[in-house]
Amino acid sequence: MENNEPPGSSGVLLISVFLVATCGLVYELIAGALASYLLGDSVLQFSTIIGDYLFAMGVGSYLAQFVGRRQPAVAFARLQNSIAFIGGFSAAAMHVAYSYSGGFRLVLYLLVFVVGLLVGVEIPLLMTILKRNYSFRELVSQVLALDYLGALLASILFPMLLIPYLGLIRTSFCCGLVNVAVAWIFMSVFRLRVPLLRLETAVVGGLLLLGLAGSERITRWAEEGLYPDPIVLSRTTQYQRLVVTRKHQEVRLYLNGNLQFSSRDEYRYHEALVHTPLSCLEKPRRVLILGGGDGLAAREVLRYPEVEQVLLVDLDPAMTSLFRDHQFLNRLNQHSLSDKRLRILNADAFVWVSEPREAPFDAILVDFPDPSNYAVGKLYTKTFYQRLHPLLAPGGALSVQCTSPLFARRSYWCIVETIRAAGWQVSPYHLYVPSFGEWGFTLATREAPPHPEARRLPRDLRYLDAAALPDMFLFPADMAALPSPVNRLFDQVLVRYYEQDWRSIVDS
Amino acid sequence: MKRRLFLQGALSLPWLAGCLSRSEGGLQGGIVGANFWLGHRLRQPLPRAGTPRRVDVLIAGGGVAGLAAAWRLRQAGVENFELLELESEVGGNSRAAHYSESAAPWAAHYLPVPTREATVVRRLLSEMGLLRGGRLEEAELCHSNEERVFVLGRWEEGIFPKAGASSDDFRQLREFEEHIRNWQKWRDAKGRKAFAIPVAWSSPEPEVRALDQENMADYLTRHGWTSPRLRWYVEYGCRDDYGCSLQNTSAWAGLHYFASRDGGGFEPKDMQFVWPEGNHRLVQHLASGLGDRVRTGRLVTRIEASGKRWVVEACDREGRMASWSAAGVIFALPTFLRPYLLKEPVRPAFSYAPWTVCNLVLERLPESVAAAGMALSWDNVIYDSPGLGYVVATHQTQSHLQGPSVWTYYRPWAELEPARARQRMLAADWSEVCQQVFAELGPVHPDLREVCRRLEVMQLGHAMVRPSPGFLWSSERREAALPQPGLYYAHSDLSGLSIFEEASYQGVRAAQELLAERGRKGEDFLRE
Ligand SMILES: Cc1cc2nc3c(=O)[nH]c(=O)nc-3n(C[C@H](O)[C@H](O)[C@H](O)COP(=O)(O)OP(=O)(O)OC[C@H]3O[C@@H](n4cnc5c(N)ncnc54)[C@H](O)[C@@H]3O)c2cc1C
Repeated sequence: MENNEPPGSSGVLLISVFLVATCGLVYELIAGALASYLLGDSVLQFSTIIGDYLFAMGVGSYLAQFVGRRQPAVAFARLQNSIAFIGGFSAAAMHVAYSYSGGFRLVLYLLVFVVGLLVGVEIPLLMTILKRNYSFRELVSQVLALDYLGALLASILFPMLLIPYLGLIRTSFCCGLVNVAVAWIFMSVFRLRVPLLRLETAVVGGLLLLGLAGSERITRWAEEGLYPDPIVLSRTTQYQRLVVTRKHQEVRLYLNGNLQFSSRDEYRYHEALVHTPLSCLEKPRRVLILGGGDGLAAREVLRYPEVEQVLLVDLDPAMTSLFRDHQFLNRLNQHSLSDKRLRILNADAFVWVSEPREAPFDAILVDFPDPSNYAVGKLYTKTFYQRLHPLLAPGGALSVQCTSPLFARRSYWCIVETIRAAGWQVSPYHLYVPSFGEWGFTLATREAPPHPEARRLPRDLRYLDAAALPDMFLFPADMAALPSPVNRLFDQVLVRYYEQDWRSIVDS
Repeated sequence: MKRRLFLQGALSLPWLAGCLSRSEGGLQGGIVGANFWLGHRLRQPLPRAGTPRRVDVLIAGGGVAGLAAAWRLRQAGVENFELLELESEVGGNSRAAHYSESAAPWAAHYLPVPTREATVVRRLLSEMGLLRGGRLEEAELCHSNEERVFVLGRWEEGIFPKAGASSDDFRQLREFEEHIRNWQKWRDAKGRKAFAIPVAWSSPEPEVRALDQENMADYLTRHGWTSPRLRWYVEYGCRDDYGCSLQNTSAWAGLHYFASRDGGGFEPKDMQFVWPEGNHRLVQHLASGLGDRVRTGRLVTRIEASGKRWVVEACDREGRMASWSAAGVIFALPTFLRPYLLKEPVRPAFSYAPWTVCNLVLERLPESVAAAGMALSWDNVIYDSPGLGYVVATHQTQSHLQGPSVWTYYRPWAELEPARARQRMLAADWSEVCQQVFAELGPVHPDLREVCRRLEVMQLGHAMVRPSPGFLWSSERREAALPQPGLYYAHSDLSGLSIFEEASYQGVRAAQELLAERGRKGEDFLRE
């Protein structure tokens, strides 16, 4: 056993107890928080992680008797380095594991176990080192008191300071650095002259600093793993997280992680959305697009030379300016957003339709994200569809994207029923879009039932023609109409249906 | 002597506490709603007012009660009146803040669908086009999802905390709900409900009145309802509407909260009107067309009989006194001011709960709104926490989950005796309140501070009258509402409960008493 500890150093050592205890709990909280962010159900995540961690600490305490019999201080410094390395990189590792491998849970519990195990060795080992300076009773009570105090500090710092100001990944790197500092304190207090140990400490410290500096990049890299193709552009706007990926010629847009289109087959979707209602009209002059900030629906509308004005109402100014100005995104929409006939208005459609200051339109195209929450769900309510009435000129036609009649059959028919209840004549239709699957829309008019005519379709479409048009209105048995209640603002059945419908797809 | 007391009292009143704008770590805000100038002015002795202005009717106080009185007078063709209001805007506890992100309530934030007896509210809603041909305007009712509760690290729908509840908790909840349904069905021999809104239509049968002698905590215990979750849930209601703990709420009032809102024949039964600016929407309607008859920035300091008329004195922003001589006065101020203004003895039966209300102006919603379970609701409650949670001003107007918003945070000081609570509340300066709010919401929204641009605080020292045991059915409460010739009382505290329905009822009642005394009975708005 080394015997070169200077007198009066026990204060420093007790501070170390406090620091390692704080870090130990922070690692546990990081794992718990990350698991509940990524997997949901925080009660389950937190309790299984606490269980795993405590169990590992128990194992560690047991194993502590076999560790550092001869040189406990060296062993302790080594232990700090290991905790620093594994704990410090744990958050980053879990992020990456979530994105790139199917075994997130395995990595999670394994990491928690290893960190717990190492932390479990710490306290008994420290007691061995300190036992010369204190009586046994003093020792146990002081060390345990500091251990619990550290835990308290961690549980307060974590939600109030660490998460808000550092975020998970940086917090874990910083805790690693604290462990490195403790190793260094031990080396200087005990004047440990083990060259390899110094090197180890320096390397781990260096790696953690590098990690800290690159946390931003690690986060981005982890995000890439969530998307099948390389990310070429990502942006967080005031309203959403926007990611564009590209592989060979295929460009995809994701909003908040949900696929919006793939350049390979979006033409099918947009031809169905746009030309079905426009082919009901002799001469569409004014067209309103609600949503559709990517400009792809606008591109289809602008094919009609008789269209004089297009108004596009989209929530997010960042989205519309990106698709107007970004030079390879505006190739996708053929510069529709800079067309002289088109006007962009950035507003929440729900508010905007309740106080329209525009003359009625000949056609309205409604293209919103799926009703996956109560906020967006408002754009699929009876009140919303009623508010569209004054916006449509006599004889005009309306189309609405309505999610999948195959995967979310109840949701689809609930939307159709809601449009009907809002006083519209409806004709449901659907088509196959490879990257989405079977997709559904509703065509609606006010007076006579809708009557699309193939002769009015533009010539050079890639999907819609005289054969495909009537076909879209036929629903085979597995997508056939279901009786449905109406979706209302104060009771949005649709959002519940939608969640259940898609959950059953994901689970099966 | 009394007068000095009042002025000193006025200085310590929250609405006189000062309006200081501050900025700390990028966060702006301050304590608002306070007429600092008045407190300042009132340190100096008040000069006497000059010759009084003659008006037919003078209304003191521009809260809901005062405005409802004005509205009723105008319906009867009485146009020669003035209304004096201390603040720079009318509305009292139903005012609003206007930020570029959204309007937001300063206090009152919802109106439940009116009961059949709430005839004044029904009439108002019809005028506003919100109730037409027996149908409610759907767009103005609270959109899904109305409320959620944060419990054990997760959000879930509703207020009763389900996660971690035992089967016994659920059994007790079902029993309690069944018990409430039975009270809702209860009628006396004359067909009156046990718990009506307005309170005045409740049955005076001894069986029901006896409940007012007991506190809600004992009532629950007596029925074997010991589940901490059920008791928290019931207490949440008492704190929400009365700012009181279970112990300080009479069982009558506690049951009233749950049993009185029966949906008034509309389906579903539990709907409510909510607006970004809260009940200020209703205030705006009541106040429309009043024009310069409303005098804001006037602190009424004295009301005295003078022959057959009444003289009312008030002090303005510059400390100038003015007086009015009126044939009729409607006193639409809280009853606790009467000793100071009318030289009446103190009425100890009237006690008031203090509240802290904060508006948090958010550049965009924090990302944590979507974490831990479910998306944002209108009302977001945190289980087992001193505040009631927050309501989201943009709930009705936005159809997206990000973007700018305003959250209104509510904190009744129910756990302390009011005088102590008031002291504690007023001792905290703006940055301490900010710290408390972030500490409370931090575990739920760790990233809230980052997106919060401005935090404004309103400290309401006498926010709500407390329906303590014995008060609601006391002779003190009944007597306080009795008019004197030419002087009529209108304030929600006379009902014993602070809600819009009661405030508007009291205003209309006082106005109709005035009209009746002039022999102009006319239509009774208080009855169908
Ligand atoms: C935090 C909070 C939340 C609430 N939430 C709701 C809710 O959601 N729904 C609901 O129905 N009710 C709610 N209420 C109850 C609300 O108080 C009533 O709905 C209603 O606004 C009360 O109106 P009032 O006219 O009786 O009283 P007040 O609003 O108290 O009106 C009194 C008026 O007199 C003025 N005044 C006072 N002293 C003087 C003076 N000396 N001279 C001149 N003017 C003076 C005041 O400035 C005020 O404008 C809430 C109350 C609080 C405090």
